[in-house]
Amino acid sequence: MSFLVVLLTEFLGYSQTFVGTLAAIIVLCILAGDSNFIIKAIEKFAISFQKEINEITSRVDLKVFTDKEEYKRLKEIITVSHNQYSADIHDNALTLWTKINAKLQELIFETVTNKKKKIGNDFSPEITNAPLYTLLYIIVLFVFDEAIYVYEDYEDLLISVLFVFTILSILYWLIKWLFYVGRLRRYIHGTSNEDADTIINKFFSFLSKKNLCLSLLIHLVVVVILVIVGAFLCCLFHDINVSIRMIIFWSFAILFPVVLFGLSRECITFERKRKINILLFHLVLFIIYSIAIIVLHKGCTCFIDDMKDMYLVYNTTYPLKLTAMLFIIFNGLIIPLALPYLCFKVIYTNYARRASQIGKRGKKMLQPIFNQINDFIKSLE
Amino acid sequence: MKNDVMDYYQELNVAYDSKKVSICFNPDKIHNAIVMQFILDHCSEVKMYCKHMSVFRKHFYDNIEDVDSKKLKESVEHSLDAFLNKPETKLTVITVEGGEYDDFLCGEKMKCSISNGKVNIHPLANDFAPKEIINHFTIADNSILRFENDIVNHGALCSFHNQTMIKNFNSYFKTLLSYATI
Repeated sequence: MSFLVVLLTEFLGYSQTFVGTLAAIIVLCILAGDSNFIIKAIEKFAISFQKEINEITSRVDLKVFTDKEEYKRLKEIITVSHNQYSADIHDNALTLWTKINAKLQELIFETVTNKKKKIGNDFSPEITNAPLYTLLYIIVLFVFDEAIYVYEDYEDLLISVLFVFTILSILYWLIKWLFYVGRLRRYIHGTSNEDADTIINKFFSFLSKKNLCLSLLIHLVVVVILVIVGAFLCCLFHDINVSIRMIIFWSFAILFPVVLFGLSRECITFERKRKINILLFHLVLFIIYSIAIIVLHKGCTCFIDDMKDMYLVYNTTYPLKLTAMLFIIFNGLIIPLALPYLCFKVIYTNYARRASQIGKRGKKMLQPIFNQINDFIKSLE
Repeated sequence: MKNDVMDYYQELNVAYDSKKVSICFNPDKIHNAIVMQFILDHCSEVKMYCKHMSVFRKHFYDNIEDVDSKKLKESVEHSLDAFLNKPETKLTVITVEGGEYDDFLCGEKMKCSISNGKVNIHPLANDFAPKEIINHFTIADNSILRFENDIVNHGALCSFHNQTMIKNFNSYFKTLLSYATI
């Protein structure tokens, strides 16, 4: 029994030209040079939003606080008439003066972004890594398309491998983009994940210090365990709906390993620099893993009858072709362009909101100090 | 006034040596120069955000009255010279305006220190609008913070060993540095 019931011996068919055209456009975006229109567009967004944020900040007016009678009186006590008061009183006045001015400075800086932290290419290697990965994915797709045409007898196996590889790629980039948004959230809230010291981080830090073989071995062991657990669960619940069992098995075989390794690795590697070797390593690993999981699955079917229900059966390759196309268009072009734009928009909105609320926030922040100043001035009368 | 100058330096010294959180008021240009001299004498890493480093320029001392401005200039110049001669010292300045470096105290040595990286001057980008409303400040060795609230008279507060404030101002400095043109 085949993994997939395929009616056509061609996979991409007439879509080859379309995919080829997409590849030609995507190839422009893999380097951070002048030809990269995504980087150019992002730089323009950055300049435009930065300008807007600057303008917002320049409109911040703290006169509402510095024109207050209490503020002026305190200033006078410190600067003009300090000789009239004892050292203690002068020290108290200075303490209040320091407090209020430090808070005013804090209010100003709440509306000033750190330019270096912009969500541009320096901050996000994904913007060039995603098109590069997509381009490599297209090459793999073409190779498989050719192989399906040449080796008709193995087309079911080849399409199954391509299916798993596509799902892995989608999950991998889903995680990467989620972390991109996560970094934005941390940036807006001024927190960092670099100092996190969890058990998972320690485990992966330990792994990264060891050699590649050990790392691969551990990955392999975990994956095999997960597949066995998935197969075991399918056998255990053999009387439930086959669709649910399929979801359980393929979740253990594909989803969990990617989520486990992807999430935890992203947790510890806050990528500031572009690491192409890691990207290529993941791509090769996904191809090997896709082949391994299909072979392992086929092996399981020889011994466990229930596993035969787990075949990925389609009447046509159209859903896979459509998924691959959407992945290419979105991951190669749309997301690297749209997500930074949305991120800039979020940052801008955030700062605009902060700036518009500065009077309100300032009042809340400064009122306790103004109350202290009032009490202090009254005590002098 | 001469005694005042010495007293003020002594007052700063007591506050610095006490290692406790304390504040000294800095009402005018004379006191600004004394605070800077004190910082140069006692600290090794100085970070400043200012208009155009006026306290390090000769013309700053021309308009000073009440004290012997020449003597004050010489003593600040002497402290600056000693600071630049020490191997471990570093001065990083973010300036609101760019400008020429001809008018500096210790002219040649200053130029030499700028070229060898001991003194780093970073003018802010022209389009960075908030620079007009941000108060000038100086952070020295994470122990002294001087921040102005009167740009005209150089009136400022000099805070000692206040780690919370120093931490905040260090982050402001980092943010401003990201807007520097050099």
